[in-house]
Amino acid sequence: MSLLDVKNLKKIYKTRFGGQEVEALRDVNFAVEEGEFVAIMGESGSGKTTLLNILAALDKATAGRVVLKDMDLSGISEKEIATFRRDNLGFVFQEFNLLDTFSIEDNIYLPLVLAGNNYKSMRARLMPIAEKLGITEILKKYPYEVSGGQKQRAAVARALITDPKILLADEPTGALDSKASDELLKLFGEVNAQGQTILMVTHSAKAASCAGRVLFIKDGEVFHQIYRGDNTNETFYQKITETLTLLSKGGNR
Amino acid sequence: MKTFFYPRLAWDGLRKNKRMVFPYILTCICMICMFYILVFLSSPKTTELLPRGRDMTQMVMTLGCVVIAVFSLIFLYYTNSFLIRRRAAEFGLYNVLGMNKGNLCKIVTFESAITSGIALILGLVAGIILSKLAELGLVKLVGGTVTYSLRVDARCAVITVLFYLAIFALIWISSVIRVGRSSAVSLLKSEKAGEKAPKANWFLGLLGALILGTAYYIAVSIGNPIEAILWFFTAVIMVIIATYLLLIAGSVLLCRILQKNRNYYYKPAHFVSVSSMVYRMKRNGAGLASIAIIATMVLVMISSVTCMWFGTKDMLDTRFPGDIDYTIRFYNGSLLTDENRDNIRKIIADYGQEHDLKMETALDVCFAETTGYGEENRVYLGSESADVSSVTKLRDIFLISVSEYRRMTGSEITLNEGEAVAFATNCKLGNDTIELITEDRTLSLELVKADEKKMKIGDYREELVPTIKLIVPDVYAVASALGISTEDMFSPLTFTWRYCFNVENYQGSMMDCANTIRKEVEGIADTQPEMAANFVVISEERETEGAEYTSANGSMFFIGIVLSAVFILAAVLIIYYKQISEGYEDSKRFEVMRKVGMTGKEIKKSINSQLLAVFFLPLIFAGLHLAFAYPMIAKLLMLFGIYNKGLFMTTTLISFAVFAAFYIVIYKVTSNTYYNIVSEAKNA
Repeated sequence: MSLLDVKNLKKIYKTRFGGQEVEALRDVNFAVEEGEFVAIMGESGSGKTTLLNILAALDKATAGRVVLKDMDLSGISEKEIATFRRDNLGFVFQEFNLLDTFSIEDNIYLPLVLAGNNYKSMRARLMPIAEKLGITEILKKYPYEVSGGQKQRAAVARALITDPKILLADEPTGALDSKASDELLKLFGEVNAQGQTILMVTHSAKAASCAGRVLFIKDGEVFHQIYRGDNTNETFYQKITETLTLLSKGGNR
Repeated sequence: MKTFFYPRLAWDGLRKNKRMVFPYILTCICMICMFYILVFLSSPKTTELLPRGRDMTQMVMTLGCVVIAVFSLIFLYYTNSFLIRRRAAEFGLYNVLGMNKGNLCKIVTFESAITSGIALILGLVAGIILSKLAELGLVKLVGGTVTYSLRVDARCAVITVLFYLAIFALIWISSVIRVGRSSAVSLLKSEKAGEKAPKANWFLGLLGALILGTAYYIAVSIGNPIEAILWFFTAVIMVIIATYLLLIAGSVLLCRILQKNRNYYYKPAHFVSVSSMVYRMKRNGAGLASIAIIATMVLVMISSVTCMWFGTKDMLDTRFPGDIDYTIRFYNGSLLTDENRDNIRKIIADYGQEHDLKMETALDVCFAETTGYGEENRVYLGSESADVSSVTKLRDIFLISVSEYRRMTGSEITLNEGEAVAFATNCKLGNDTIELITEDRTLSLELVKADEKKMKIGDYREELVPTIKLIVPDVYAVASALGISTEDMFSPLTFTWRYCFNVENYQGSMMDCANTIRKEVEGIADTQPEMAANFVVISEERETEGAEYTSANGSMFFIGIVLSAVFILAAVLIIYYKQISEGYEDSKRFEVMRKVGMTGKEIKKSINSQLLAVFFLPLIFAGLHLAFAYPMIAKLLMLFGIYNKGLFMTTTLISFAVFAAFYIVIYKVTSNTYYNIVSEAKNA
C-alpha cells in the first residue's frame, strides 16, 4: 500500500459565466511510496499547480480519488479539512507565506498553537529542527529582517514541526538566488534521507535532479516518469533536460 | 475626442474608487450644508424673527460657524491626503504607462474640479432647503412667530461658496504637490515595504496612564463650580494627551506584555489576535484616539446642552422664586424689623388690592450676609484680611436668626446664646464648634445638630460657591460680639430681605408691574423718613429675564445638536476609511493564514475579535472619560443654574445609550464593507 495514491484525477474549471470549460487535469494517476522524494515537472499551464492544490486539499477534484494513508481526501468534510491539513501535510511555498506580524519563532509555532500545544512542548520540538536547518540564531527576528533563504528555511521548519506524513513544496526555489536554492535542495535531500516523504512541484531541472523520481505532466496527464536509480545528480539532470526537450517537441512516450 | 481625454480619465478614476471617493464627497456636502445653515441662522435677517436674545443667538451661531470652518479645513485636508496616498499605486501605473507628472497633475486637477463642483452645488442646495427647517426649529425652540416662506440669503451663499472654494483650492494644491513629488517606482512599491515590528515604549505608555489618572483624580475631587472652571480646561487637555499616549503607546505596550506571558499568548484564541493587534494599534492608535476624543466631545456636548435645555424651567424656578423678586438691602441693619417688613408687605398687598391683582408670596426670608475666608472651622470675616491667593477658601456667610429659621422650616428648635446650627455647601465644616474671627475678636459658637432641615434663601450663590449658613439665636448679638456695627453703611454685614411673589391679572408687562410696585415700596420713605437712603430695592422679574435664558439655552441646544452631527459624521468617516484600509491589508494576510492551516472560521473569529477590540476601544474610552467628567460637568452646569443632578444623569445616560446604539450600527455597516473587501480579494 502506497502512502499517497492518486487515481483518475480530473479537474475542470468553468469560467464565471458558465461558457467555456477548461480541463486542467484530464486523467492523472500515480502513487508515492513512504520515504520517497518525488518531483513533478511540467510547463506553465500543464496543471501541476492544480494538482498540488488538490493534494493539499485546498481545491476539490471534479472526479477521481486521492488517498493519503487510507484516508480519502474527497471524503473529508469541509470542517475537518483544515485539521487534516494541519496534522498530515506540511507546506513550503514559493512566496514563503510567513506572517509579517510574527517573529520567525512564532511563525514556526503557528500550526502547533492552532493544534493547542503548550509552549514548552513546542519549544522542545523546535530546537532540534532549528538546529538542523541552521536558523537558531534568527528565531527572535522578524521576517522583514532576514534573507530570502532564511525565510524559506523558516517556512520549511514550520512545515516539518508538525511531523507531517508528506511535505508538499510548490516551487520552493522560485524566489531564491542560486546559492540559497542549492542550500535548500541539499536540505531537502537530508530531510528525505531521514525518512521524510517529499512531493515537490517545480519547473527547474536543477531542483528536480535532487529528487529520487521525476514525474512529467503535460496537458493534464502524467506523460512520463524517470527514476534516479544509481545516477548521480549530474547524469540525472542530463536525463531530465533531455526528457524536457523531447516533451516540448511534442514527442511520444 | 482628445479634448475630453483627461476629464474622462478623471471621471473614471473617481468612479473606480467610488468606495472611497463617495463618502468623501458626502462629507463635503454635509459640511457645506451645515456651514451655510449656521451662517444663515447667524445673519441679522434670521435673528430678527426671534422675540428676544438675538445677540446671544447670533453670537452662538457665529461661534458654531467658526468651529465648523476650522474643523472642515483640518478634516477635509486630512481625508484627502489619505485618499491620494491610497491611490498612489494607480498613479504609479499611469506613470509607468507613459504619463508624465504634468499629465498626472491634469488628472488630479480635473478630479478636484469634479468633486468640488458636485460638493458645492449639492451642499448649497441641501443647505438652502434645510436652512428653512433649521430656522423653523430654532424659532419654535425659542418661541417666536413662525413664517413658512423659503428664503435664500445670497450673502450667506456667497460666503459659503468662497470659503469652501478656498479649502478645495488648498486641498488641490496639496494633492498636486504630493503627486508631483513621487516617482513611479516608489509609487508602485510603497505598499510592499516591510513594516517594522513596533517596539513597546514603557515611558510613553506609563506616562499616558499617569496623566489620565491625574486628570480623572482632578475631575472627581473638584469641590465646587468655581474650582471646576479653573481646572476644566487643564483636565480636558490632560485627557486628550493621555488618550493619544495610551492608544498609541499604551496599547502596543499592553500587547507586548501579553506576548511575554507565554501561557496566555500561545493559545489558539490569542496567538494571532494579539500579534496582529500590535500592528493594528500602531497603525490606528492615532485614529482611534481621535475617534475617542470626538466621541467624548459629542457626548459631553449633547448631554449638557440637552440637560440645559430641559432644565431651563427648573433653572428659572430656582433663579426666580416668584414672578417678581425683590431683594431689599438695608444699609442700616437695625431698620430690618418685623414692623418695617409688615409695612412693606402691606404696601404691596394694598397695591394688589387696588388693581385687582391676585398675589401670592413665593419666598419671604431675611438674613445678614458677608464674605470671609475659611479654614475648616475657622472663618475670618471681612474681605480686607482675606487670603485672596486661594479662591477655594472664599466663603459666603449667611447669618439667619433662629426665629426666621423656625418660621421658614417649621422646625421646633431653640438655641441658647453661644449655640448655632450650621449648613455648609461646597465646603467642609466640622461638627463641634465654629470660630468667627474678625481683626480683633473671635467668637466661638457651639454647633447644635438641626434635624437636617435645610432652608433655601433663594439666592443663586448658595449652590455655586462655598457657603455657610449659620442659624443663630440673635444676629445682632453675634454682630456686636464680633465688634461689627450694624448701623453703618460700610458695615461688612449686609442685611437683606428677599421678598418674592407671584402676580396674576396684571394688564401690561411684568416688567412694568415690577417697576411700578418697586416705586410704591420706595415711597415708604415719605412716611418713614428714617428709611430714606438707607435701603435699596433690587427688582428682578421672571418673564423678561427668563426669556433671555430660554433663548440662550435654546440656541445652545440647537448648536449643540448641529455640531454633534458634524463631529459624528467625521468620526464615522474616520472609522469607515480605517475599515477599508484594514480590509486591504488583511486580505493578503487572510490568504496566508488559510494556506498554513487555519480554517475560515478560525480566521474570521480572530479577525472579528480584533475588529471588535479596535472598534469599541474608542467607545470604552469615551464612556470612561464621560463617567469621570460627570461630576465636574455637573458642577459647571450649576453655573448655568442647573442644579438638577437627576436630570443631568438622565441626559448623560440617554446620550451615551443613543450614541452607543448609533456606533454599533456604524460598526455593522462598515464591517460589512470590510468583509466584502476581504472576500473580494479571495475570489480574485
